[in-house]
Amino acid sequence: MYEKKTQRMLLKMMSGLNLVIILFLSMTIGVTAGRIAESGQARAFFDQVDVVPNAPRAAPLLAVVLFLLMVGAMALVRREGVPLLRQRLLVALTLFLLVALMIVLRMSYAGVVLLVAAELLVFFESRQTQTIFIGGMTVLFLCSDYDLISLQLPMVSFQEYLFYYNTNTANLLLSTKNVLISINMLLFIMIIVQMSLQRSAEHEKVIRLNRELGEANQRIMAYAIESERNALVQERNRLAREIHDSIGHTLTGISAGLDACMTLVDHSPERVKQQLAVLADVSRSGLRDVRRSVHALEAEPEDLTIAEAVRKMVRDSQAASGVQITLESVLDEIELQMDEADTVYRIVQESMTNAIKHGHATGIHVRIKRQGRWLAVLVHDNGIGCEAFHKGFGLRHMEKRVALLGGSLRVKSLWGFTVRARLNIRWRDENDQGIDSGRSGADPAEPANRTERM
Amino acid sequence: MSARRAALLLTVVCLAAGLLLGLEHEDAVLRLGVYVGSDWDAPYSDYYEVVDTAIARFEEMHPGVRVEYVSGIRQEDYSEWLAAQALTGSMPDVFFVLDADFQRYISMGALARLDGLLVADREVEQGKYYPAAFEAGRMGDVLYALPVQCSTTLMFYNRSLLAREGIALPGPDWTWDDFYTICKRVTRAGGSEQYGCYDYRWEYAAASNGALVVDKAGTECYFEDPRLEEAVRFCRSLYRLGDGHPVSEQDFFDGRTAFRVMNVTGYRMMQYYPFRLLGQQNFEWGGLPMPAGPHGGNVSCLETQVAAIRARSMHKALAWELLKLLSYDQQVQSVLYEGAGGTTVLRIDEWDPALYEDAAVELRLDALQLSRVMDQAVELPKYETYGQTLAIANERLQPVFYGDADVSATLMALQREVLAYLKS
Repeated sequence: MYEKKTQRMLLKMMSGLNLVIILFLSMTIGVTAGRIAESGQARAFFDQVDVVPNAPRAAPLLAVVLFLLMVGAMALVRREGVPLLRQRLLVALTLFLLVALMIVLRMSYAGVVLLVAAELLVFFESRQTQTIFIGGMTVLFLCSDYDLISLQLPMVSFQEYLFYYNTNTANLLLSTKNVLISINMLLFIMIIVQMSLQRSAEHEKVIRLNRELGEANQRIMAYAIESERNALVQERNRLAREIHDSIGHTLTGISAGLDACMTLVDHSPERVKQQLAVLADVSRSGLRDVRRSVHALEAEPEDLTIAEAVRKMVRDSQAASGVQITLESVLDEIELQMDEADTVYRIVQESMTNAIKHGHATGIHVRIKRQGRWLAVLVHDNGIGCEAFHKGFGLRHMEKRVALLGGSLRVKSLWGFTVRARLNIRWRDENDQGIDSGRSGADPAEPANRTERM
Repeated sequence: MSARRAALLLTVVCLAAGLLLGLEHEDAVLRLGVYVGSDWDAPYSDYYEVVDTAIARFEEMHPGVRVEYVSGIRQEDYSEWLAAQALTGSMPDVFFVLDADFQRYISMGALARLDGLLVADREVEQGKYYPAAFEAGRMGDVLYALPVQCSTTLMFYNRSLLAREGIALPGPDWTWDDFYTICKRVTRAGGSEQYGCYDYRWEYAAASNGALVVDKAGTECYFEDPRLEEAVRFCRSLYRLGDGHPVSEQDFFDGRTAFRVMNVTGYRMMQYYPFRLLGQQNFEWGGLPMPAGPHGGNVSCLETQVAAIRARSMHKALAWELLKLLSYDQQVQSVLYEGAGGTTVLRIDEWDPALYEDAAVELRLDALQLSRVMDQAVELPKYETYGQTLAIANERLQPVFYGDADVSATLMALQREVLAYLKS
């Protein structure tokens, strides 16, 4: 239940004030009755009143006890998570205690009605029950009008007790009572004002939230448009990468092979023939690459496992460039997800391209092996390396892919060039059986190729 | 406030309330409000003895119940004392109510209605009370109190004087004419004065002529009733015997007066103190019913002391038992008859004569005759300003009795004046 701090504080103040008023009224009555009796004016006092007052000396205690019980009941109603039935019972109890208290107070004080109204109004949510509640409270409030009620229920009013005192004292007591009652009334008004302010604040909040929701919707639409544009840019970048990765690689191999042919053509036309045949192969392979790239762009992987794909790439590169390439791989023994396999493939491809293109290497060693939870990919060449190394497009691209898998990529230029990548692979062979229990029946000796296809 | 604290508070309050109630029930205490001195200003000291006897019997009958009362409250202080108790919420459970307070406490709702208790009680028979005594506890249709003791007016006569004059003693059914004839015979003016009657008031004459001056609650008066006018005329002729000299009490004590009206309590008081000791009483007494008027009977006025139960008493049943003991118990009532100021409110016809003989002998009255007088008596009005009403009427009637004022005109004026007074 939404409650403002000020409102709670005002209600607390009002409860306290009511306790003070009840004590003041009942004790004044009690003390005055005692003094009248002691001063031998009881009979004269009875000439002025219509009824024998009801145990004025016990009334303060009874009134305070009833009041505290009532406040306690209201505190219980206010607590959160009270079942509806119990809440209703407590409200009924509160009203019962209120009536009892008013009878004990001989209906001479209506402030408690205001207190109960202020405390409980919040709990009558529908307009109808609220109206009934307010109507009942109004009747009770009117009932406490002494002139009205004394017609039905003879009683001695607070004012009548004041006849005992001289004018000054009587006025003092009466004005004290009036001031206290006025403060109580004031507090009640403040609470009601606070309540309506709070209602309108809630209303405003709803409106504001609505507006904000509309704005957020618009932002989301703008976002969607922008993200569409982003996707376009990303696609273009991907295209660029694919071209660089596949065609660039092939063309590098072909140009290196043609250079070799030019050197050989005078000495050994036979070898040139041989070389050209290889180059033709490479260019065909390049063509295939291009086709594959187009396939990849169409998101249709070639029907090869990652192990086969890597082996083929090594074979093709070696054949195309004449560089001695050795491969040491565990890819046959593990399962990789598509993105993981793709990353491995690209790292090897990019590193080899770099080694041939920039490092002028004559030998490349590729090692893919498992290190604990990591898959380590190492590509080392015996080329010239580079002194002032700066990351080209290919290397940056590699780094990005590795980072996506939560891995790291390091390069070192010492006695050739070394690319060392550590990939955080989502292993499924040992620890995570449960994830893929549907496939547990498959033959473990024959790696499932579905996920490894390129 | 947390739920636990609220629950704790509730428990504590319930325990405290339970404890208070429990203490109250453990040893029931009934409080009794009594005053010393009777309604008829007769000082007597045996009254607490009566009360103590009644309390002792009550506590015997109801073990675990105590009865408390404050002793030493004089009649003139009693009204204030009772008001103070009422104001501070500590009214006694059973208490005597003065006539002047009776109506006030009824209208304030301080007196319990007894009809239900009376109906539920199989022992109490209304017929055992003198009717006027029982009616004294009733206001309107509601019974608010039971009578405890009463006192009736009687016509006392100077037996010696009548014998000296050779006048035969009138019978108990004598009339105004008999009364007037005797008075006229004995009245002598000049030299050795002798008078007919002292203190025969017009309201007594009205009562024995079937007329009512004011109703019980003091809302209506009947000065224009021809029977009342008859009574006033009778008094006027009586007062004008001789030279119209108002008879004083001293005239009676000096043995110069044939009759005087007095209530039994006053008469009883004179049997003891101070007149006997002083030896002033040099003649023999006798008591007679009041003389009957032409439209009435030998009717006396009965003053009754009543006791009521507090409307908010926690022990109404016990209070009823105590009240019953004071009002209806023959033993207690016989003690009252013997020693206290008034006489019993119960008809003694059915009593064992042993219960009242001693008292009657001491009173020198025929107990059964007295009982018959009380049986026929009418009750007096019970409202706060009855005394003032009578005072107004007396003042206006003086010119009638001792001057030339017209009876009918005076009574007509009086009717208006008193009615206005009662309504104010």
